[in-house]
Amino acid sequence: MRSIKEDPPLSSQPPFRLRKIRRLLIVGGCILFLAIQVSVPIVQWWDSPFIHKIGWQMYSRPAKEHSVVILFPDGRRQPVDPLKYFGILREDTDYLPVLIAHLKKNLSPGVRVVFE
Amino acid sequence: MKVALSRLLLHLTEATCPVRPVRQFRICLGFAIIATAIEAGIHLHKILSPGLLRLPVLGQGLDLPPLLLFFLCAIWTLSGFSQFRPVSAQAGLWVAFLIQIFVLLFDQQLYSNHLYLLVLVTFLSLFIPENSGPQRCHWWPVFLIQCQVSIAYFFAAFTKCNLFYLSGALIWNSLEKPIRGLPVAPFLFEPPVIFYFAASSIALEFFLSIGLWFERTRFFAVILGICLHGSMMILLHPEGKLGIIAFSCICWGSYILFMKAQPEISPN
Repeated sequence: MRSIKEDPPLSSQPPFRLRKIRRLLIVGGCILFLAIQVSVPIVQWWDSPFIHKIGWQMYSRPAKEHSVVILFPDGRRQPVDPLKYFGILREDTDYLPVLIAHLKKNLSPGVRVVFE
Repeated sequence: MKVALSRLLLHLTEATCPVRPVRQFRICLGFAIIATAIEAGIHLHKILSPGLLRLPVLGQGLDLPPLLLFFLCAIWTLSGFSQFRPVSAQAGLWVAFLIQIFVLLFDQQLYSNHLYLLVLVTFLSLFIPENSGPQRCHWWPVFLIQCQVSIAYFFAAFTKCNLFYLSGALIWNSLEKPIRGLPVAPFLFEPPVIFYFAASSIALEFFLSIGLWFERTRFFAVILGICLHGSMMILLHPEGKLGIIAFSCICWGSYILFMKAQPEISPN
């Protein structure tokens, strides 16, 4: 008759403590992943009425339209076509700060940049 | 409710599912990776043209020499092809995941919803070990992939619930006209008809986000989903077609998981 001590260990199963940690990690990770994936699109939707990234807003909302104009000292107005300055122009990208900074840096004195 | 929740938790930690549908899903993922890699290569080439402004996500924009850009896109495309063979799939997934993260953070203009979905799905697929040994794998990454596709469908429908979309203006602007050079009955582009297209697309996406989860509606949802993505491939502007192909491949792949990757708990 074999004693309890002589029984082979259950080596095929991880120890109970490790299994518990593994379970906690899986459940915690799943809850965290789903919480982020649900909350981020809600925040993006709430944030603005225009199309936004990371919110699954494909073909759903209008793009924010900007109008950038260069004002010359003699009163002439020259509209700026942003596509000339960027390789691609995605509707959900806020390119205005970069474009205005670039225009202000490169325009001659007296010339102003106006945007709406 | 409490019983259902504890059952779900038990399934998350203990359930396994057959490997075969996961392999089929990875083939679809491979096609999505290839389409996205080609599209991103074209976009990177445009962005890196001399004299253009950059919109880096982090810090100053990096410059990629043309040879390195070609090399990056070639490796990315090969990682998509690697999904067709189980032996190389896991290594290919790691390569694809790292390149996708790099591209996503390289420039704001490279963001696209299908690239973002691809990053998430690739990340989750990394937790499904792929080799020729076991016939079953953990179910929880499969469950999260299914949830992710449902969430994408739900928010795609939810954010379309506005007057601007329902007016049909967005659909009208996104359609290829005439469709593939073929004559189309003009009444199909009339505002009331476009409104019905818009309203039904919202209803369809809401239905897909829920209907794929239930056995009674699953088959119907899969047929409708295939038709929805197929019609988008045919009807929408050619410039975003690679993106639509990538998105469709991920969604169609997830249908395989919904249909075949049923969880089971081993009696042991």
